[in-house]
Amino acid sequence: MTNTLERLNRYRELVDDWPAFIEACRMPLPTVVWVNPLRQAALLKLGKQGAPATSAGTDCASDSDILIATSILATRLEALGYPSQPVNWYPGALRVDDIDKPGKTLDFYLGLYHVQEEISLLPAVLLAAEPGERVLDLCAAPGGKTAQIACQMENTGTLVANDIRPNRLRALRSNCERLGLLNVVVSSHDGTRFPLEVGQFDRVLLDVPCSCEGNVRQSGKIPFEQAGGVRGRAGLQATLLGRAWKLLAPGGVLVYSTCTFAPEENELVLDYVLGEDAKIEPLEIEGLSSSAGVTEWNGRGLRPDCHNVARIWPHLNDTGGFAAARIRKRGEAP
Amino acid sequence: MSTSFIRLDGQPYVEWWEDRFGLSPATFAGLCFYQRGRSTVWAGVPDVDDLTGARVEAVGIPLLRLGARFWKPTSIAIITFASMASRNVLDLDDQETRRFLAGSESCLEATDPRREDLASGFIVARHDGVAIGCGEWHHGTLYSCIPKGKRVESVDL
Ligand SMILES: C[S@@+](CC[C@H](N)C(=O)[O-])C[C@H]1O[C@@H](n2cnc3c(N)ncnc32)[C@H](O)[C@@H]1O
Repeated sequence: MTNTLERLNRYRELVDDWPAFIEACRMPLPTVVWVNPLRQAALLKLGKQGAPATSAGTDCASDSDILIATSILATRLEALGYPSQPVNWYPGALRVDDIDKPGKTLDFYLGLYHVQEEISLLPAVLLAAEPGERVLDLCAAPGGKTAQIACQMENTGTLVANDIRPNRLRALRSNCERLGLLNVVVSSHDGTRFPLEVGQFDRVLLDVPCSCEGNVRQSGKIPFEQAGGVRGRAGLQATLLGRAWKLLAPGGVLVYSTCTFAPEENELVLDYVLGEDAKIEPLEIEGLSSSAGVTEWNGRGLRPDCHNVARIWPHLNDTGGFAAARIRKRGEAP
Repeated sequence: MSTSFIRLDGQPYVEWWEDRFGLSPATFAGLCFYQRGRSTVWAGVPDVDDLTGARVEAVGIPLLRLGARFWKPTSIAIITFASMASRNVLDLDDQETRRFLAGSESCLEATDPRREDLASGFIVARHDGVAIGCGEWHHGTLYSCIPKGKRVESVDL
């Protein structure tokens, strides 16, 4: 841990409250689950058989169904000895205490919920895909974000979920099946060469492989030494972004995200790859605090809209570390 | 590289689900059907012909395996589509559900009224009104068709 903290020292200037940041990095991460809206009919049915407190399920579909389904899931998890708290910024998500095997329940097997790190729920929220669209998730495995996007699209349209690694593709496919995602096409390309002839997409999620510094709370250490440090991945990240940008239709939205603090893997990549036709948009998520992106690093000035990159430090919301940018491509949608 | 998913006319498969489980064809409205390899039929929303050049590994979910003698529904298709099935459905109690999810069989007493509605072959296993997977029913015994990698031992109900 000491070694790890020394390595985080390079971010001292960027963090508003250093002791709080260090303190947060030492804490374990809570488990988060989110209700699968595609299976909420099953949850509503199960709720009717259960405790009277959850008998509010009605037969007509409405926006509040997801809230009812969430409270039914909370009741069912509690009955198994796993009390939970709602995640205030993400409807349908619950922080679950003391659950060591969230995958051993009938409800998980049935795809009624998915298990995902809380802060990694963010990119899909920023992407905000809509029903009927054509969407690409270029580095998709094991598929938590794919699943969120498929649900946003209400199981319509086309969502291409791509990854390069065979064993991770297996996990991706198995999650897509378990959650009943009918609008997903899984593909297995090297993202840096994803075929352009497939055509352009309304939205692209680029959740790049990174040095994972933000996962320090999960593992108690930073695994970036093996990965070649914070500069080792920047080349791949930039190449992936270049390709993803070509695959994005004019007027479309690309979300770039990492679970790392290093500007080399975030703002510097955006600054290096993005041109005049890109605009990094300001972000605001109700209930979630973030700090601004860096516009200068090691004496180098970056494009001013890098300020709009959202940096999520672990102490801000008691989550893992994360960074995300929502980028709009200029031009009219075709 | 071209895709190995070949678009099919879905009607025979939709009819099969209707015949065997009494599911309305509307259950499958808006889906495209594909065959990959010799035996697996997939159901998904996207039309892969709109994705020229993509190396496709999956579209939606696998629906049926086509055998020479019979067609076998996948457990995931049963879970996704068959909670409203009206034929060849077996409602399991907690103990039977645990055995089913672990991949073990259950025998039903000769006098068990649930036996009356079942024809030999594949059935929808259900728990609390929710489909939980594909079973095979023969001579009073329910066999679990949940694939090895998906089974759950001593599941939390
Ligand atoms: C941060 S993880 C993605 C997590 C995923 N978005 C999710 O929510 O479950 C990065 C992924 O990028 C994949 N990857 C690495 N290099 C790649 C490449 N050249 N093309 C496509 N995917 C790649 C890795 O296999 C890994 O699954």
